[in-house]
Amino acid sequence: MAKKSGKVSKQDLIALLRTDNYSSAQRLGTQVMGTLKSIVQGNDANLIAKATYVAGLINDDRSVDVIELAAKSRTPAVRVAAALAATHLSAERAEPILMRLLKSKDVGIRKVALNAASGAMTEKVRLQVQQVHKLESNQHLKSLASTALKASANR
Amino acid sequence: MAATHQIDLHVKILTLPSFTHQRMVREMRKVYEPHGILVDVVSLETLQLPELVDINVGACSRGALTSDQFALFGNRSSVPVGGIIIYFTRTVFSPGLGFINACAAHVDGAPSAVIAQLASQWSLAHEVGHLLGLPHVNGTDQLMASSGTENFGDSIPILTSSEANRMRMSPFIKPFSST
Repeated sequence: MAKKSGKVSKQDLIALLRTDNYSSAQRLGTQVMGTLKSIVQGNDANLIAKATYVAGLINDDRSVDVIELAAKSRTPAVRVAAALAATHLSAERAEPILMRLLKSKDVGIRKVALNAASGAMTEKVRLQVQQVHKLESNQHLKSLASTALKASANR
Repeated sequence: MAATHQIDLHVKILTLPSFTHQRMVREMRKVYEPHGILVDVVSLETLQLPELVDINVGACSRGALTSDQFALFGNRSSVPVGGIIIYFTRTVFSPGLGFINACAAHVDGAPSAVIAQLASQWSLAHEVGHLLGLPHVNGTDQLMASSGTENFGDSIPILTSSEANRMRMSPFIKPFSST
């Protein structure tokens, strides 16, 4: 997999993503962040979603750039991947991504973002989750928001 | 090989898959029918369940279904006991496993699988293999490859005779009757 120089080719990384071998991709670390970004800037939605998730697993400052790109995607499944990736970021890194996705008009994206928010409750995110709880018409999501707020209050 | 068995599928669509379910069934037939196993879609339903289009499958483990899976699998409509249901959702994920193509973990006696919108054209054939008792194998060109189905491309993956025999023992497949 890794070449003698320690560099990993884009094709090697794509092969790991295609086989859902996320732990191996994560172990490649920050050296592949540029490649992940170039995949996320491409056209293959399935690969983009997987690359986004790996960027979250690596949890580096540059992960935020990659995941924010995905969070702005026109493909809903990719935005879901961005919300899922935020689950693995530190709260400060996850904040800008969650602030965007918690405001999504899409129920599924708000659901995954709420789940991520429960583990990344900065003050800004908490206020946004409170807004979701107050305004949400979907009872399942309202309940998720309530659970997230209670969990953060107990920490 | 003459048909000996038949698989009846009940399809429930929450999100239209990139490869249509009809295409996935055609690809599945290419793998199963040489072994005398016919595949048919006997019911098709569209479900409006926005909170379940993105489904958290946890560990994708039979003994540990998530609240999302229980909620989704409650939508069986008139499917008879033992009927195989395929739910097409937008995404299938878990915080631990990541963004995955499909999952066949289900309630005992109610064989069900979820397949994500962006899954490959071979995902249906692979997941039904699980529902009929097949485990993962190491070969990368085999239908049940642990490395998934995305690398098959247009090549028909291999289903071995022993795997086909094992599927015939499943309570969820029925002997073929031409009448």
